[in-house]
Amino acid sequence: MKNIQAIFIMFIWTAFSILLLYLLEAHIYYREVVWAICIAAALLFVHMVNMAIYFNITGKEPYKWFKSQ
Amino acid sequence: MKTFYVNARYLIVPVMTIATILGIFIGNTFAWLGVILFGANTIIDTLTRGIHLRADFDDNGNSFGIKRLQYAVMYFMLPAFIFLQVILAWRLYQYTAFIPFNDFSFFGIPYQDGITGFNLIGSVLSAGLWAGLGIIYGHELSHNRKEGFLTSRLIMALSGASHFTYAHVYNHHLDLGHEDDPATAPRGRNVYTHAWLSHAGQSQYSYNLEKEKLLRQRKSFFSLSNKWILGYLYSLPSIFLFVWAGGFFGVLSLIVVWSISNFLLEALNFMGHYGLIREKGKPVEHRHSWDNDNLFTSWFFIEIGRQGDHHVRGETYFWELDDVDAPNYGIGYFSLFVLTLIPSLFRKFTQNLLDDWDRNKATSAERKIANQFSNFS
Amino acid sequence: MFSLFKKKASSYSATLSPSGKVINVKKGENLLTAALYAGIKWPYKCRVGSCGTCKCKITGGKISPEIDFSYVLNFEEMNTGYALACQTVLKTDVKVTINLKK
Repeated sequence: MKNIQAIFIMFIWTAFSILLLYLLEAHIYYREVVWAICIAAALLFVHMVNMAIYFNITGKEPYKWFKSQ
Repeated sequence: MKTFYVNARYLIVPVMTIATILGIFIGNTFAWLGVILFGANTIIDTLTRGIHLRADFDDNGNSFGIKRLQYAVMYFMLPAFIFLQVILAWRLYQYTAFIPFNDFSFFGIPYQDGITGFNLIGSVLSAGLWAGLGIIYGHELSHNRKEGFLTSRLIMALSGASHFTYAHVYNHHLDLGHEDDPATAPRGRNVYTHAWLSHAGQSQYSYNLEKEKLLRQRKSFFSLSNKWILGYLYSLPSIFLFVWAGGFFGVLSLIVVWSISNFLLEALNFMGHYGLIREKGKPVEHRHSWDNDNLFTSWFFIEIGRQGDHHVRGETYFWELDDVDAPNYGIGYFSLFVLTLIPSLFRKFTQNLLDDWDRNKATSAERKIANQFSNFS
Repeated sequence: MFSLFKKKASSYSATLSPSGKVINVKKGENLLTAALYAGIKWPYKCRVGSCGTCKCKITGGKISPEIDFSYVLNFEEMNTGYALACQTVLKTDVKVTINLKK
């Protein structure tokens, strides 16, 4: 359950970030070095936040060998 | 002669990585060379599955490995993997900039300017597979002193998995065979689920490790002393390269490269400990790891398949690792990897082996945990 | 300045207390490996610096840690000279406190 919850929030966060990059026209200016650096930093940040969302929501639950314990 | 034989046999991956780079550089259908080599290796590994050799030592018990040479090769793999990404980025640039097709030559090496979408897919898959296979050097160097450890972090960062280095040493080596180790796959889990859980779990371990360390040191979590953050920052140049070279296609390609390379890494973890059990706090012994040590796997994966010995003597150079009568799949990593891709087949293949492990190698406490799996399945 | 011309030692000694045993540690070799080679029953488990079983106290001399000890040793241990023998390379002759009966 927590897995699905986490993946849903990660999806929303990623979609929101991509939309923001699109509205900023990142897909047009990516060949400009400063833009490329900023887009790369933004994508890395999105990824790191996604990871943090996953482990803060799921905790140790996905790693329990016996779920009913 | 023996020294040459012992040292040269571990050069398969460097040579094939260079061939893959050259294939992408030459272009056209050569872009698929990395994929073809991977397939060829699977066939060779399957054909040599019955040949198992011991480590080579002279009469005085000294190994034939030349430490300086083997380390030079391992350090060399960092620029080699960087170059693999650069050459792929160059092809992405060509594709997205609509560079017209032309035949050229570079220092006598003929190459085709411009690339089709189909051959770009070949380039991406080739780069992903060889970046993934190259992770064996990231693993080996993680057990080394500062500069080796840093090189390991940088190699892993090329696949967005710099956290591996900390998680592998401080978590996996300490907790394997137990649910506290995300890299150990419990019975019944498939490789696809494991790839994500193990990747995320190792990142989580590194995240928590840093959180606790910085709390003790009274430093902010958001600092460059945070090795979890720093590890991801090491990946920034790769992301920049792919964004700049290919925009949307670049990001998509990087996702594919990272996914393949991390999948291969986690498949190795999956195969290395699947279903084996250790009581928490009890010493790690040979029986807690699977060996994959047929001739081709041993040479190709620089003896990473001698997991039983590696986990008991973690500081031992790879060329000195030996057969220690650990549980053994009897086949190599390439062949076994194909089986893992079909979970039902893999479970069927491992069932007898695990039954044998339960009967003949497990302690009574470990057998009790194993029985819990039977009750839950 | 003259230290630049000093010949570097190819090995160092580690004097263990309370046992009083002295072991020879080759340059670049870690303390645990040297101790085990000398037949000393030094407690250890993982040999990669993750479990902390081989920890000891350096009471004299200089060492070079192979990895960051702060993930395994606590704040107090870090400040009182504790080290992980499996990840300790000697820079000079050293004195070490280690309970071999563990």
